[in-house]
Amino acid sequence: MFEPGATFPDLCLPDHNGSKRTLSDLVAADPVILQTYRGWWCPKEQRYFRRLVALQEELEVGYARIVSVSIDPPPVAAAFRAGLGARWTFLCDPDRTELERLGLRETTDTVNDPYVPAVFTLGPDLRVHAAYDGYWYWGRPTPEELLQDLRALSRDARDDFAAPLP
Amino acid sequence: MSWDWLSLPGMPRPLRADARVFDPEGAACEVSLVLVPEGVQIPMDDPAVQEARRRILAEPPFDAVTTLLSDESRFEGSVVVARGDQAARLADDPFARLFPARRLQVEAGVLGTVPPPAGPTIERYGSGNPWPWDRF
Repeated sequence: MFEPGATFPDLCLPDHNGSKRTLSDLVAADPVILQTYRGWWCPKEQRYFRRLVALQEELEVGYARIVSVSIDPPPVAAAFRAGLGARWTFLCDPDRTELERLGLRETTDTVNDPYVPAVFTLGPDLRVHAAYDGYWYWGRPTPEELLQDLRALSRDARDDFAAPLP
Repeated sequence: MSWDWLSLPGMPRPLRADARVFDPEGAACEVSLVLVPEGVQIPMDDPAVQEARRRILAEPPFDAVTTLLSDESRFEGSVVVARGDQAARLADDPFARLFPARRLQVEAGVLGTVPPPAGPTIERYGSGNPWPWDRF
């Protein structure tokens, strides 16, 4: 698991539409919530996604981003995303190329070989601010923890986080 | 550079567009052009305009999208670009739910393809910039 202060690798994967994307391009210059999840079938992921979907209305005005990564192929990820009502990018790693590079394979599921559920909050330079191991559901960050992380990351990333006053 | 002037047939004057949509090597394309009618003023922050931006993020991507601006607060219209089989989807241009859209055939060398916005941000990065330009 990547520790705070480490630089997260710049992933290169197809998105839910099948277009190749890099993490650095998706992040651009904003703080980001990077989530790895097992796959559409997992009830824990279905539940946790509902939390993220509830958060997206704040992120859509807060200049922050979400990127979700799984082994689901693009058509499956696109259908799952649409059903959730998510409006952020899902990256697809059905060949498990980035999964192996990241070392995030969940070893206890030998049928699906999925990603370990995890959440990383990253700065625009892909520096890890916080890492949450979601193997057990309660290891995942609460919305409040994510908002606290985004506040800290935004404070670092925005020179004018303190409002410019006369 | 985050914006440039765009002028297409039917536009009474050039309007600011996301500079990434311009591509001198772009293939011919079809465009859904939405223009706010003369005499109507609608803010970029109007909930209807916000919802159109959400629909752009939620639905399968087009080759390029830009909102059109003339100043820092008013929504003046939008351009949605598609090619090939995807052009049929221009009938579902989310901005066409605000005002009627015109379909244009645009020759090669004008408009390109831009990666879809990462989402979920619908805000502009600086009030003078068209959406979906995505950085300050």
